[in-house]
Amino acid sequence: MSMKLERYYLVRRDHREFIGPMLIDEFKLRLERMDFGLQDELSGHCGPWVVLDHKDDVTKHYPDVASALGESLSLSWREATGHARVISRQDSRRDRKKSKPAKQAHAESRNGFNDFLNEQKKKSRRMQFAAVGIVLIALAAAYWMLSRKDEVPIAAEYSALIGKPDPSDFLNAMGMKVIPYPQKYLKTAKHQSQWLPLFRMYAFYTTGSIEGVSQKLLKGDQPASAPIDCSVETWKQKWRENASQLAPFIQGKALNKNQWTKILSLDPNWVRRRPAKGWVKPRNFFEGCLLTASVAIRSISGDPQFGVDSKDVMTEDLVSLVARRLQHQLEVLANGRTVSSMDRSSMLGQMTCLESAASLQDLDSCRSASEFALRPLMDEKYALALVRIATLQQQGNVDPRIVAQIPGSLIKISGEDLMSRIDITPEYRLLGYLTNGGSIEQALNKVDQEYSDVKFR
Amino acid sequence: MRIRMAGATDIGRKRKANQDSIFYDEAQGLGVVADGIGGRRGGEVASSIAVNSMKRVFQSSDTIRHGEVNSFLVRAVDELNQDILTRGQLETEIAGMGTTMNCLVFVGDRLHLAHVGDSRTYMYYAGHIFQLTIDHNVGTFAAKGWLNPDQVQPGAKDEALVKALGLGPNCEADIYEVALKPGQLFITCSDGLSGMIADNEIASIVRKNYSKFDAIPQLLIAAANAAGGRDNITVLLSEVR
Repeated sequence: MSMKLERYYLVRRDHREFIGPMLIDEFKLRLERMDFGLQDELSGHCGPWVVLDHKDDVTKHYPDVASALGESLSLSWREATGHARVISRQDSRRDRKKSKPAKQAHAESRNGFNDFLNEQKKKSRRMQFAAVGIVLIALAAAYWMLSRKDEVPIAAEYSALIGKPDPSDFLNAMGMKVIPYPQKYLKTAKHQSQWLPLFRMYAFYTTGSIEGVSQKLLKGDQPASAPIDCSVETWKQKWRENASQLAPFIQGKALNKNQWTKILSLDPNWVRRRPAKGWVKPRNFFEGCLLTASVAIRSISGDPQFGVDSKDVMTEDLVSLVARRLQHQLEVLANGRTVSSMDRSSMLGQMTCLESAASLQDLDSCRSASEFALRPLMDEKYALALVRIATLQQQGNVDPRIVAQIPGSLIKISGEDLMSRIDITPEYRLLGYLTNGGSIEQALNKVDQEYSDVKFR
Repeated sequence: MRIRMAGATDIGRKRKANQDSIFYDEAQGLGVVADGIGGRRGGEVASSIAVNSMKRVFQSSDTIRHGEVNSFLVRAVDELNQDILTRGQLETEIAGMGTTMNCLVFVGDRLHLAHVGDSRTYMYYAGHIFQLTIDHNVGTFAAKGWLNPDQVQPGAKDEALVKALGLGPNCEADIYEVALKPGQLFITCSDGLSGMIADNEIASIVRKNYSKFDAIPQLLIAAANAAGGRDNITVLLSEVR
């Protein structure tokens, strides 16, 4: 007779502590008990580590766990699309009454409690009420003690600050000069979902970092192609280290793919369309990176607001060009349009011109300024500019002269941005739909259905 | 909790020297495995410094109370790193040497594990095997999206290390904690084992020979040699009883 090997699972909590190995029933109980959360990782025998919130990975490698999560957590996990969603542990508590594992988990303790009550019944009904009352008071006291011990202010109290991103107000509201133990606010998925947007706001409107909070956590589930570290200090270092390569890139003579060229060539309209979950202001990691990159370059440029660093090696002209490019990107993010203008003789200037264009005439004037060796990059910018111009209107038909430009542009681009490797498939699809009659409303409806996370209107 | 340990190291079938080092002491609850890199002599020296310095730092520490072990490990790794760099500066012929290291410290009902490089620690339990450590190499980091392609030198192999002791003034180890329970078996090894035989084969050998605990390191080494033995092979077993 062959024995079936029971499957054990191991959980890695906070990237540093292992819990287990445990069988699936214990896994469910401990998840209910919040010994770990969906942000933690799981592995099985000879298997890869997968983040519990990554539904597809869990389903692919550990179907037992996937069904257990679907059963005992919530609909939200089942509905979640991959890593886009962070589920709070509140969901698991909300569904506890329904879930079988929770019933099993508490069966033993309930039985003991019921026995106690039966004994009391025999004596008197009055005694029974008294016992229940004592237990309830004890539970309330225990809960109060525990909540005091690990007190975390409710982030909702500070949510009013989100509309006006001022880190000093945030800190004042917290009654602190600094955040002394940020980990305290990020212990569980629920705390993270409440606090990370505020922490991100604080970080990216100051230094791009918070001591004790990893860049990985601040970045969150943003594309792998996004920069790894967007602190101001890292930006300063990158601007200085790459000063010699900056001029050839700005002039469109050399394609140098790295963090700073990616951020400089990033289309702010693309960033604007992608508000991410867990982010409020900035709306996503890319906007955060633009903010900190701008602070870093202004500090190098000797802006008295930020001070001057004697180790600077970048020339003032280059610094000024980069600063103006970043200013344009941030203005588009803030207002949907730019008020800055740049000399179109540089490639950065031409990119800025294309991203600001509001008509076909504007586009033509941008392209006629200069021709650059990095032609494919500019072709892509031209295609993305067509998207922007087309979506300036929300109904009716797009100017046929613009629609006529689309087929020629589509064959020159793909679903991935040439420089930043970001996903531009929704933009690509929108252009494709426009070629079929030119109705912007129909095209937007179709893209909205396919990519609900991308906001074209 | 009682910890039982057994270990062995072997030159393999292709290398002319053994650059791996191992130390373990059941009574102290300390086990260290290091795999040196950087030329024939450099690798030997680096791994030897890692093991001996860790032993020295551990033994000279008055008490490693529970709760202080992780900070002790962080300090110790930094000290080891400086030792290797300093030795490299004194002897130019071995400058640039480095080493991986996995250090296991058992305190109370917990294991504290410091990990740098691509040596591995597995947990074996009830026929199951789990890789606890993450390989600090180009292939793993790139797959996880922790390295941008433009940060990788052209032609770099997947197995090229991105972290090791002695490679620079700062070396940050991964520090892990495991709650111990009887029946757990930790298998710490250099890539001479994990690079030659698959994880399920390691689990299979351990499962079939569980009653012959002291013989398991040699059996694993023999399996790696049978598979080609391309590198030095070191195995340390730590069983929780």
